[in-house]
Amino acid sequence: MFFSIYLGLKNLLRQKRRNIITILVIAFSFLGYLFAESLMNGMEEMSFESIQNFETGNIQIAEPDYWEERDELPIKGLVAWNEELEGIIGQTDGVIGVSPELKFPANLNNGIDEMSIIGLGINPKKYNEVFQTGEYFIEGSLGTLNDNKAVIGTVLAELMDLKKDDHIILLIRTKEDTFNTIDLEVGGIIRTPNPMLNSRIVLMPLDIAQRSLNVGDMVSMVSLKTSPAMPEKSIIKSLEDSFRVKKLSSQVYSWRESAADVITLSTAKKGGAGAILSVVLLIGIVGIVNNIILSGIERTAEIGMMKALGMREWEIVLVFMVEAAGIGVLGGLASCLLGYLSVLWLVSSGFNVANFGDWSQYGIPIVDRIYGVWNCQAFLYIFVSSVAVAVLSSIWPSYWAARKDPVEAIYRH
Amino acid sequence: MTLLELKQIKKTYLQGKMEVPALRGVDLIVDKGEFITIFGPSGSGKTTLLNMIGCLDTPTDGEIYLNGNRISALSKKELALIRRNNIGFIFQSHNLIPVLTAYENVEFALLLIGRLSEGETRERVFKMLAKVGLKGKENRKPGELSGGENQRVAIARALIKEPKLILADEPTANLDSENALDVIKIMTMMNMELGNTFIFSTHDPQIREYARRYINLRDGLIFSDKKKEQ
Repeated sequence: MFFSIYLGLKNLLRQKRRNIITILVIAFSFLGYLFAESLMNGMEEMSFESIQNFETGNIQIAEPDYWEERDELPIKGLVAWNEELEGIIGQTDGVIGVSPELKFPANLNNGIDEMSIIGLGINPKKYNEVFQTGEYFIEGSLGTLNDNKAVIGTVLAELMDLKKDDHIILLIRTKEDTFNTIDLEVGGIIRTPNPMLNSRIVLMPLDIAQRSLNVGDMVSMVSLKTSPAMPEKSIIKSLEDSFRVKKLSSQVYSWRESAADVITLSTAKKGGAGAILSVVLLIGIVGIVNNIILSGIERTAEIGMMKALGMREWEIVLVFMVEAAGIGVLGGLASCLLGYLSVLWLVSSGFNVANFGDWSQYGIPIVDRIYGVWNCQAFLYIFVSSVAVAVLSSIWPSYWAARKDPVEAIYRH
Repeated sequence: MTLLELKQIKKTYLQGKMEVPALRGVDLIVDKGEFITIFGPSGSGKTTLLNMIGCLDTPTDGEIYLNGNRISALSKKELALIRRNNIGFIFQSHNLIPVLTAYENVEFALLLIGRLSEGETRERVFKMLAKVGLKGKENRKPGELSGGENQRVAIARALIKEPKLILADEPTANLDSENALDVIKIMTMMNMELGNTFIFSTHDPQIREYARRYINLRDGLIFSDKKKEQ
């Protein structure tokens, strides 16, 4: 048996060019998987971070009726933002930021054009505790969001030809469904990694929004930032228990419920990764089977000699399988090396998706670059798969080679 | 003392739907230590006969006894074990493994039996390679040796396990006359020294002269069986 293993390893040095080609085919196909896997995981991670850091926070509190129709931005079913609710949230362990928000549909008018946008009334200080938007100001800052100031994204500014200090008018419908206008001045311009914030949202002071919509102290929802040290589920449960005790009708929702579209994409991504892996494995199988069959044909007389000397079939099978395993190990190592280099590039430089259009229209909340993420398990998985595919796919061609009739093999080859 | 006995060995091949007889009833008794040549025209059944004796093929009819044991009805696995332990082969083409050195090619046959320690194996392989005139070339691969030298490695490989029977099918056919004579002389020397039984086929009358028993095959039958007069 040891001789079969030794000979199988030695045989790796034969047909070097063919073995190297097979190893490279395995390496590049698995590299494709590692790259796609890193890219898709990076996209998923960045999408989830973008949603939590710029849209929803970690947890949202809203009335169930509002939640059902939240995509329509209704001015009904609002939450009363008062000391009682603030007190309950403030006393809940794990909550490190609270931001009440009033979302409403509006038409933005710059004096020439008009476009449909989402108005977002916020308390700048509290908003800053939950969201990272404050770090992405090109002009102005969250601190400028007072009086009749508004903050808009670069895309919206460009579309409506707006600059800092320009005046805008928001046409809105109040709670009573009457028309109203809000006169604002562009106090700041942001460019965040979240396409929605850049193109469709106008941030403005909460009190002005409440007054203009005539909703008193009501808000659409309250976004919370939670401590990473505490499980989100336990914070949600704690809040729900407090609401029940205080007989509040508000409900608590995880950010995942707001990110259903992205999560659906993420699930589809896993299916896509599986499809890529299937193709990659098929390429590996074809490469190995082809390699072993060719070796079997070329070494027919040698196989005949081995059988004449009394080598048993399983010992000859072992020779070929060890050779295939060697190709699998080298292919796996080459995959990991090439994969390491490509993922390193993806993690450090990122993949510029801006060249491929606006990804936000596909529900992916990423603006320009997607950065890959390291997944050591994927590397281990690829290495093990490479060896396993090589060994398993070599069984049949190895038996085919080893079952040759010795007389035919020696004399008629 | 009888080593090998063939009783009415017949072998028929199918070519399409047509039956082609290769051996048509061969009877043969071979004693231990004999040095036999089988000759005859192409298609006379020399290779088929050697394959039957070497357990590489099974007869259509008849019985073969090796060391008193009937081997003509054994399974492939059992035949492989008989070949491994009792029979050495030398082929027309040396059929050495190109990635292994001369030493490793010879050692291979011994490792298959696996009875010796590493030290004993090493000593025996070095001795055998020296006997066939390859001292100092143990670490050369087949590509670094001449045709004659490669055939000597093949002889060493056949003899290393000290088999009772060594079969050689046209062992000198691919060699020039000088190397052919060297090879047959080595075979003769080993036969005398180790007492193994050699059966070889050849077309070369000069090589044939080294045998002590001549079996002439024609049309699948033994036409003549003569021993050299001492």
